Amino acid sequence: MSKAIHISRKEESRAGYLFLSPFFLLFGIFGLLPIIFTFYVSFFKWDLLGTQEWVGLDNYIELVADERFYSSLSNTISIFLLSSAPQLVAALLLALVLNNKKLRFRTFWRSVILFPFITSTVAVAVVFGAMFADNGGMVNWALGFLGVGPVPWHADGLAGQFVIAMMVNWRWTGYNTLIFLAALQAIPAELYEAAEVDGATKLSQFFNITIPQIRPTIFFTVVTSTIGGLQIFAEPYMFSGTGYAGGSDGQFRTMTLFLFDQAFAQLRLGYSSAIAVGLFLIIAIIAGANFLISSKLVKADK
Amino acid sequence: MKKATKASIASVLLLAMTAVGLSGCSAAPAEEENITLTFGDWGDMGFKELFTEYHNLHPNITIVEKSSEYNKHHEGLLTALASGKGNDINGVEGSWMPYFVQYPDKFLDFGTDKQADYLDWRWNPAVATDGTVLGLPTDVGGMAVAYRTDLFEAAGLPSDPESVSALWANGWDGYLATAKKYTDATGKKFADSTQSVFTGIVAQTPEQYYSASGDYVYETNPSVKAAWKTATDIAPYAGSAAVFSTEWNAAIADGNAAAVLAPAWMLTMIKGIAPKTEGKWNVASVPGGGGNWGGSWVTVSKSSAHPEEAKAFVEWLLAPEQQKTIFLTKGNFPSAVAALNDEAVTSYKDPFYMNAPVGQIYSSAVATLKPAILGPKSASISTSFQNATTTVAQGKKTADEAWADALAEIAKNTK
Repeated sequence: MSKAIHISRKEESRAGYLFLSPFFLLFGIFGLLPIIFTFYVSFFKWDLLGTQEWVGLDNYIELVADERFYSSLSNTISIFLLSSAPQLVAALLLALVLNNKKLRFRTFWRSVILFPFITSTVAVAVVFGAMFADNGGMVNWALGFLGVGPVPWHADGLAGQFVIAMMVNWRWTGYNTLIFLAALQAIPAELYEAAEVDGATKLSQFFNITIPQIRPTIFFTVVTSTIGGLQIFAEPYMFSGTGYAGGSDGQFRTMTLFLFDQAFAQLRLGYSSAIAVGLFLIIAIIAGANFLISSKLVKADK
Repeated sequence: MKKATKASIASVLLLAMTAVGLSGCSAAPAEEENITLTFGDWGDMGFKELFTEYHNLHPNITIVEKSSEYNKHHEGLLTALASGKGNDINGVEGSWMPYFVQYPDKFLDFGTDKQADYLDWRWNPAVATDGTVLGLPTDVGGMAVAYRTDLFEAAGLPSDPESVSALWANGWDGYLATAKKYTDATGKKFADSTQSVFTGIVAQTPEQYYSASGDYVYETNPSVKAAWKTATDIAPYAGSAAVFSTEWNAAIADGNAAAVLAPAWMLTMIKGIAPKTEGKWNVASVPGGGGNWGGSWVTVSKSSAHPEEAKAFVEWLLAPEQQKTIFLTKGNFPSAVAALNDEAVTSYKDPFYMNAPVGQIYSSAVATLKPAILGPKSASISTSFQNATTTVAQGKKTADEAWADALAEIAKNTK
């Protein structure tokens, strides 16, 4: 009997690895292998159906000299900042409202807030594209009454990036709201009650209780929206109306659009792979920085 | 176990008996096998009803359409060919054919049996250097100008097709002068987009971005420069949206474009975009002579499990009789000679376009065409130039700056 229950340390760890293995197996096949293959392809000139021609580091030499790489990086970061920052602030404020016990029809509001998330990106882009048309668009028509504009939404880089960021926010704010809401609900009510007794204001409760309590969640949303933001694709693709070119002058060309353009419009799979490696390194650096900062702050909490 | 074996022997015998019995009256026992053929295309190529019709004629064959967005479809085809999988049958748009034709071993050879049925210049681009015929041609994109009679009248311009054609009888200079007159009178844009003007003019010359020997000549070719000049000169009177974009669609639906350069398929597209404008459009001749914009092929992949059935279906689908049906019901103009000379086609008048004699307009436009020299990068080069004309229309750049930037972009993309 006791023999059956007793499991050696070795056996235990073996079982642990066994339970973990499905993930690593799937990750290996669908995650790691493609990444290794991308590295490999980046040393070739290849149009997919033809033969691969070894070019050494040529693709990387070309990449560091290609201003489109830097402009697509700055477009990506610009759209990311225009979207993630206001989005997370808005999501937190909305979560506070939804968490308020005096709010009526709470379940209804909590469901409704996720509607934009389940709407197809294509449909959203068509509506935004029509509303923000340079000529004859609804927004320019409304701005006309205020004596402003017309704003060249599709021509101007910043104006268009603002619209693209709005589409991203439209889609993701509700999602982040629910994540914040879950974190808010996990904060013990005693903390607030004790603060009330001590005479703390609502504002100081927010900064001294709420924010520190949901700090891990804030980091989670920052990390996920960073990774998502750096890979933004569908919104600029649909909004620009110029396919992978990302605007008449590449003003909306993000890094993933640039990657797709070189892969499927120019059929330069090797160069496109070099771009992918570049994007991979940039995301790795930013994720690493995120990790360092967050682990320091979590330590500081303790 | 024994029972099962007995039953399966019985069913095999039964099948064999039916097959023998049927083979007495029909061609081959293999015909009774139920076959599903997958057909990959983008948007609406106009074939849907014909898939059903073929199934009615051949009940054992079912065509399943796999439709996706234009880019998605061609990328899917590309990766499917690379991995030896994918649909049995695929549409290939004209601008992709010069690339695919380099890899004939990925496609089923149609042979030259049907060559005489089609226009030479539509047949040849799908013939590889080793003689493999990759696919059969669908429609042709011979050009005309679709224009809004009501908007022309409001601007004090003539509105009947003969007088409108006469406005640009002297070529693109006449088109440009008309555009200026229209915008001066109304304050609105005349042409739909600088991009379509550029594409249309380039399409009128046989030598575009490649020379006959396959060298790049886009930088020095006078006909590309001429197209560039007209497309950028017309910028103040043309829409600044990219062709086929959401905003371009809206401009056509809302009367923010008075004239659209129109291959036959564009007339179909306008009907879809702006159904409420029925009866307001007419069709005039195109300035500068004949040209082709667009047109596709239908191919069968080497990896298909039913290559013979797929080939037979494609041959039926694009036979003159079916191309005639497609034109009369959808508007895509035939590339099959017997269809485009057919009385029903040449005499066809389109009620959406004030009964314009579109059959006659496009058959005469197609008759004078010279084949264009295309290469694998033709579409990419064209896109760069087109987007550059848009930067001029948007007021972001002067024509000279845009030209220089386009050349720099093309140099990188053609490396």
